[in-house]
Amino acid sequence: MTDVVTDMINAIVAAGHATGVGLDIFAMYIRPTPVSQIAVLPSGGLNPIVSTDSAHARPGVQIHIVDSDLASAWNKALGIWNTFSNASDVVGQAIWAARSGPLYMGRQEDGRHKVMVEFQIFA
Amino acid sequence: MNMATNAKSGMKGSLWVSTTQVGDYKKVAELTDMQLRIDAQEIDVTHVDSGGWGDTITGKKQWELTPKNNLITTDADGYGVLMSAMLDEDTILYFKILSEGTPTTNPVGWHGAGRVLGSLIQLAGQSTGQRVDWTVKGSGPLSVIG
Repeated sequence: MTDVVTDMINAIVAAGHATGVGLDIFAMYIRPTPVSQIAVLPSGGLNPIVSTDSAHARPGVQIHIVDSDLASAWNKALGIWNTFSNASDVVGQAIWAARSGPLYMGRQEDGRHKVMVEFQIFA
Repeated sequence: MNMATNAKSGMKGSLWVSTTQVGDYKKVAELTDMQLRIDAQEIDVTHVDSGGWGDTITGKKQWELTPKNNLITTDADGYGVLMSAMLDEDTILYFKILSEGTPTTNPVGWHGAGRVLGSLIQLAGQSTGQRVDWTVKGSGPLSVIG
C-alpha cells in the first residue's frame, strides 16, 4: 500500500479543498504557517482483513483543519466531510466517514482553532 | 493507493431489479448488507458396494438472495418494486446481483429471475434506523455476469 496520507492529500487537493501540498496542506503535523492550513495524519484504522497468505489494510486518516477564524475552519471541515463521507475509488476502493461530523478540538497555543474530521478507508 | 491483496471492498456490491428480463434495471438504494446463497440438494446414493463411505449425487440447485437496505418507502424503483412483488400473488422479478460495476458498465456478478418471498421491516428501535431485510428465492437458473 502506498502512503495513505499522500493519497488523502492528493484527493483533498483534487476536490478543491486545498491548493497544494506544502502550500496549505501538509502531512503528519501542523506547521507554524500559513495560518489557515490542513494536516493529514494516519490514524491506524481498522484491523486488516486477513487470509492465510495476505492481509488487506483498512487504514484510517484524520484531517486536522486549523484557522484563526473558527467559521472558516468549521466550514472547510464540513466540506471535506461531505466530499469523503461515502465515496468509491477516490481514496482506496472506498472511503467513508468514521464519525457523523467534524469534532472541534479547541484552540492551539497560537490561538488558532482546530477542527478534525476522520475517515476509514478500504485500501 | 496499491492494494495489498485482491480483497474487494463490500462497498462495491449492488443490487438491481427490473420487471422485465431485458429492461431498465434500477438500483436498490442504500444497501447495508447482501448475501447470495447458492446450494444444491444432496441425493444419497450410497449402496452396499460403497466401501463404507457415503456417496451422493447433486440434486436440484437453488439460490437465495438476502439483501438489507434502509427503509425508503418513497423509492418507487427499489422498495416499491420489491414490496409490490412481495404483496402480489405471484410476481417474477429479474435481478442483477453485482460484485462491482453497473448493469451497463463493466458488470461482474450474477443475474437471474426470482420471487420476493419475505420482508422483515425494522420500524422502531432506540439505536437503529428503519430498514428492510428481504428474502428473494430464485426461480430458474442463476447465471454469471462478467
